Amino acid sequence: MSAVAPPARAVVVRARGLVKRFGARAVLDGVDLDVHAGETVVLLGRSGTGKSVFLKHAIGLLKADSGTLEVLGTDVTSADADTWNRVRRDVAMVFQAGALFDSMTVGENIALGLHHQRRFTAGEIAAKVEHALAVVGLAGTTAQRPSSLSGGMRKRVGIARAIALQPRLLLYDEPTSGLDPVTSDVINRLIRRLQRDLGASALVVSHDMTSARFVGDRIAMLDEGKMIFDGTAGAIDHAVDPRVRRFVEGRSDEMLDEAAPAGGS
Amino acid sequence: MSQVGVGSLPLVILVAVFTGAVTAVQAAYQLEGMVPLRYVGSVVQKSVLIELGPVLTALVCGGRVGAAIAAELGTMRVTEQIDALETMAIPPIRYLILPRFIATTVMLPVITVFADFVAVAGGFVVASMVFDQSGHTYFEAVRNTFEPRDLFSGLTKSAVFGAVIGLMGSFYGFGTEGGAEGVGKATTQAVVASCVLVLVLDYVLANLLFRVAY
Repeated sequence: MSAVAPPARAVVVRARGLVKRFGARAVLDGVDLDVHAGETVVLLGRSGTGKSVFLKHAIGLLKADSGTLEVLGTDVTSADADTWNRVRRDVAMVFQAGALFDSMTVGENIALGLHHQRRFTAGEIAAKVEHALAVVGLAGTTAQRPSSLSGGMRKRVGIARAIALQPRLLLYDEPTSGLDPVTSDVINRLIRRLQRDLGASALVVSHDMTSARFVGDRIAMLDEGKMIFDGTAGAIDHAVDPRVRRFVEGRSDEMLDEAAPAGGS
Repeated sequence: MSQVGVGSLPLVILVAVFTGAVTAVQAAYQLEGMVPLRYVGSVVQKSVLIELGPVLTALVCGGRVGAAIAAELGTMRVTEQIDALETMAIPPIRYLILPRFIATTVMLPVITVFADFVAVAGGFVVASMVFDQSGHTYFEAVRNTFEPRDLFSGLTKSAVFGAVIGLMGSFYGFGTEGGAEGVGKATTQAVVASCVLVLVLDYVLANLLFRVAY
């Protein structure tokens, strides 16, 4: 929980040459990425560049075709279910649309993972649920149904569900997509604050530059399954790669115009 | 379980009443001139217990419960709820599929018992109103030819059909991909697959349970 990083920083996620194909298309085409302990890395990229696919590898929802992957010191490249379930005790994922169980109340959603760990009494779980909801600013919503919440609230409940498990690594899938700028800022501040308070490492998949600059200690950028940038938020403004520049400045240039002439002749 | 069982009951009872009634009318038509009409009760009882009760209940529940399971699990799949379970180290098969499988396998024989009773009663309504039979005549015929083996073999079929409905709903629901359209497709496939399997397995089970040496 110390705010000061140890001298030789442990690596919580280490990917080397990760390849994942869907059919003939290599969605990840030899990706290298390190996430160090206590660090928040934002994985940027346009839609369909394999960011979320990479994230899903880090929690075992997908299995790589080749390359190696280590999560929290365990080689999970071809890990079986038991190994993954051990690793998953310390990793939590925040899904894009919350992925809340809609047959349960908000409180039950957050309690489910805690119940399943069989480490806590009912009273402890109730306290943890209340605490997690208070941290994301939704105290008192325990009895509500996910369907009665707004998109931003659902994402916050999703975050509460993740942090209730006290993970050492948090994975966020597009935490700000589909939210208005003010709610996005709420989420960004929350991610930042959680990192400070929990000392957990985080890997954030996003295509939101504002969010990336705000929450990221480091930014990595994927394009067509390859890593094209890896550096600090400051360094991305001076990147020379035209693909990175286009993304940072939000320009399409001639990409679309050349590919398909609008008039057609 | 209550959703599978109690929820399906009104529809199953409606189907059963008419099944019994239709069987009585048509049995009378077929028996006329060959066998005295007082045996209508036997025919209704036999056909309902070994065939119509289990199969029609399974087809009705395949449509209703199988579709519900596929739609629910399919929606959980496309909204990443199943992924979320997995990331929390909760095995989705044990947590989602097993309870549904047990519910349909246990509940289908239970509602089939109801359907059997109601269908035999439906047959009596026709026998008394159309053929002017007394309750004594009808139920005497029902009772005289009753063999426990018929009932239990019929319920064995039901349990197998229940397992099929739970498995098909879960299988297609779990494998859903592609948003709302995918959920619709999975639901249809689950219903079709469970109905076809019910009919095929009915034939297989009939051979195992009611084989006559000849």
